[in-house]
Amino acid sequence: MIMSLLDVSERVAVVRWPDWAVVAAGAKPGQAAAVFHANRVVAATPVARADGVVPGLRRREAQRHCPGLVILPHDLERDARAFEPVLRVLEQTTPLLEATKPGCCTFATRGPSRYYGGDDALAERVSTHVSATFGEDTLGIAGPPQIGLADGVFAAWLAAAPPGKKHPVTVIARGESAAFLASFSVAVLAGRDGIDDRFLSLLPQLGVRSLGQLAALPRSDFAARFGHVGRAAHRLASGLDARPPVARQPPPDLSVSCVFDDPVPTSGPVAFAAKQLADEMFERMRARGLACTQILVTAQTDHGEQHDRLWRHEPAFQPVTVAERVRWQLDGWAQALLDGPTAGITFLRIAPTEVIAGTGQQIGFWGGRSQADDRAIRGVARLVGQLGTDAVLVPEWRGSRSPGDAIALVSAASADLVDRDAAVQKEPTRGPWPGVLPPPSPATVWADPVAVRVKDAKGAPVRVSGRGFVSAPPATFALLDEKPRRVIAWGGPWPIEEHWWDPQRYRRCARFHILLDSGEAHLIVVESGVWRLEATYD
Amino acid sequence: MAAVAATILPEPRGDAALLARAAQLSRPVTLAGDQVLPTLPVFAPLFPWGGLQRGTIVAGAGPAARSLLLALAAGPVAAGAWVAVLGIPTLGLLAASELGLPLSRLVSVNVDAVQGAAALGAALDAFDVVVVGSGFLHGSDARRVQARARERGSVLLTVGDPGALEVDSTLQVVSVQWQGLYDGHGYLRARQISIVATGRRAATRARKLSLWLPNTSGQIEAVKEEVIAIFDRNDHVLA
Repeated sequence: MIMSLLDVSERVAVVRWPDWAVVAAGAKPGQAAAVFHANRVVAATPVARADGVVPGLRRREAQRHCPGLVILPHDLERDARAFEPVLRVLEQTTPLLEATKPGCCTFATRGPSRYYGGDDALAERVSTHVSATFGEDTLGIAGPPQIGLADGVFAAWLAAAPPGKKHPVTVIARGESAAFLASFSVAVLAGRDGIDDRFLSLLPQLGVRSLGQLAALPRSDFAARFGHVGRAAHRLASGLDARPPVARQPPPDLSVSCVFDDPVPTSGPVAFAAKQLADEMFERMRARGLACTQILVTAQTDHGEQHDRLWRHEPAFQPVTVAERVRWQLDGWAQALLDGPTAGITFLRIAPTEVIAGTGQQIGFWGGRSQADDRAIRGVARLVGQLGTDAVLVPEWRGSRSPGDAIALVSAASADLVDRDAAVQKEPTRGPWPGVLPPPSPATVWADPVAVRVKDAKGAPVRVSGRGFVSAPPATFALLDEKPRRVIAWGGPWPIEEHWWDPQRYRRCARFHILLDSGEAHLIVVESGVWRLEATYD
Repeated sequence: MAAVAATILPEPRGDAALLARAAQLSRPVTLAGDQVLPTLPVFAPLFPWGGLQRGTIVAGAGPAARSLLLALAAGPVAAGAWVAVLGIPTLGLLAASELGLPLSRLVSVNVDAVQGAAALGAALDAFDVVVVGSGFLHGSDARRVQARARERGSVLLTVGDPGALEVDSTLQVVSVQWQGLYDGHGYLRARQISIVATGRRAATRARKLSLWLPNTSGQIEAVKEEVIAIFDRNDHVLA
C-alpha cells in the first residue's frame, strides 16, 4: 500500500469511565442501579452489570434480570457538571484537554509523553493522579479511569474499552494501531463519521467481518464502491483518523466573541448569548461551506480569571449543541472549589478549532422546506432550549411485534428535522415481523405495563399452557386496585417467542384482545403466569 | 448582551421594510370561515365551518377520544402542518400513523405541569396543531395560552379533562362498538363510534356523527344507513 503524508495520525490518549452516568447520578457502592435513556440502559453499576444489565437493554428486560434495580434518570447536564472536577485534575497533566462527552476525554500525548518519560509513564501518572486525588469516595463505583493510548482517536478509544478488561491502562505502541484493531468486529464502527447501520450490515454479507479484513482491501476500490462512508471506515480500520488531518488552520475571523457590560453571574444568560454567537459563527462558516467538529470555548470573569475548554462533537456541531457545551463548561467551572470564578462572566469567545467541509442542507427542488417547516424547526430549537434535549422527541421507525416498540422516539436535537420521511417510513428490508397484530393499533401504549388480574367464570386465574392452550375462557378483568369487570369478548392467545438467541432479551408470552362490558378494549399479555395490560384501544 | 442582539438581529432597512409594510397593508381581510385547517371530509359535519377553525380549542372526551383527535389532526398534518404532542408519553404512534397522521411532522414533548405553560406557549407559536394531555394548566396560565392560540392561529386539541381551559368545541364520544372480536376467536378489527359535538357561539347546536374509526379496510368513513353486508368464505363482500 502506498503510504502518504496523510497516512499518519496523531498520538492521543483517551481517558474514560464507561459508566460515568451512574456515578454522576449518585449511585452508591454495592447498589444495583442503572441510568436509563428512552427506556434503554445507558450505564449500570458493577453490581447491576454482574446481574446482566448491559447498555442497550430495555427497561423491562433489565428489571427482569435484576428485580431490585434502582432506576436513575438520564441527565447529560448533571453528568457534565460532575465530570468537570475530573477534567480540572487532568488539566494539571496536560494543558489542552478535549472533552468528548461526560465521562470521556481525549488529549494529544506528544508533549506530555516526552515530559513524563514515555507513554507508559504518562498513562500511569494520569491513572494514579486521578485515583489519588479523588479516592474511592468521589469516583466510588466508577473505579480507576480506563486509559487507552494509541495512534488516532479511534484506536485509543477502543484501547480504553476492550471487553472484559482487567488492567485499566492499555498502551498501543506507535505503528501498532492497525494490528491492534485487526481483531475487532466491524460493528465497533457504528456511529462514527456517518457510518450507519445499513452500511455495517452490508459488510458481513460481503465477507468482511473484522477490521483487519476491511483494512486489507484496497482503499481506493473500497472508496469507489462506498464513497465517503467507505473511505472513512477504511481509514478508521487502518488505524488512521477518519479524515486526513487538516493542513490549514481555520481562518481566524470565524471565531465569535461578546463582551458583557454587566458581569453575568449565572450560566443561563451566557448560554443564551452563546446560542446567538453560535448562530453568527455558523452563518459565517456556511458562507465558506464549512462545518466544525471541535470548538474552543473561552470565558473570562470580571476579575480576570479565564477558563478554556476544547469540545468535540461528531459528526458536526449545531448552534444548540454549542450553547449546551458552554452551559456545561460554565456550570462545571462555577462548582470548582479551589479555582472557581470569583466574579460574573464578562467575556465569552467561541472559536472553531477544527473545520471540515460542510455538506450542509440540500434544499429540494420540488416542495422542499415550507414556511411551516421552518417555523416548526425553530420551535423545536426553542423547546429544546427550555426543556433540554431529552424532552423533545421525534419518531423513528424501528419495527417490532409489539405496538410500543415499532416506532421509537429519539431526541429531536440530534435528528434531521428537514427530511424525516425516510426515518419514519416502514422499511420492508427490516423484515415482515410475522406474528405482528393487524391494524388498527392501540392509541395508548402503557410505558410501564400495569399488572392486571384475569380470571375465569369460577374465579380462578386464567393460565396459558406451554403449548398455547387457555385453561378457561377469561370472564373478568381487573386492574390491581379496582373492581373486576366482565369480559364480553376475547381473542387469543397469540403466542410470541422472541430473541431466543439472546438470553438477555429472550421473551416468551401470549397476547389477547379483550373487550369489556363498558366498551373498553385492551391488549393484554401473559408472561410466566403474570398478566399485564400492554395497550388500550381508546 | 445589547451588543450581541444588535449584531445578530439586523432590522430590515430600506426597500425590504417598505415592502413588508406594503404587504401588511394590502393583505386582504380574512373571514372567520376562511381560517380553517382542512380535516378529512368525514369530519365536516362536526364543525360549523367544516373543519378545525384556527385559534380554537377542541376537547375530545369519552372512550375513543385519543383515536378521534389523532384522526382529526391527520388532515392538517397531511396537508403540510406540523403537530406537537405535549405531555402524552403513552401515545400510540403506530395508531397515529394508521389513522393517516404523517409521523414525519410530529414532535412529542415530555413535559410536566411545572414547565407546562411555558412549553405550551412555545409550541403554539411554532406548530399549527398542538395536542395536550389532561391536567396541564391552571387558572391564569390557561387564559394566557388561550390568547396565544388565538393570536397565532393554532389549534389546540385536548385529550381528556381540559382543566381550566375554555373549550370552544367538545367532541364527546357517546358510544363505541367493536367488530371482529367474539367469544374466544377473532380480533379487534373495526370500530364504530358516535360523536356528539357541542360548542360555543356558532357551534351551540349539538351535532351528531357516527363513523367507522376505522372500518374493516382501515379507512375512516361515515356510517351509512343500515348497510347489510354478506361476506363469502374469503371475506369478500358479496352484497
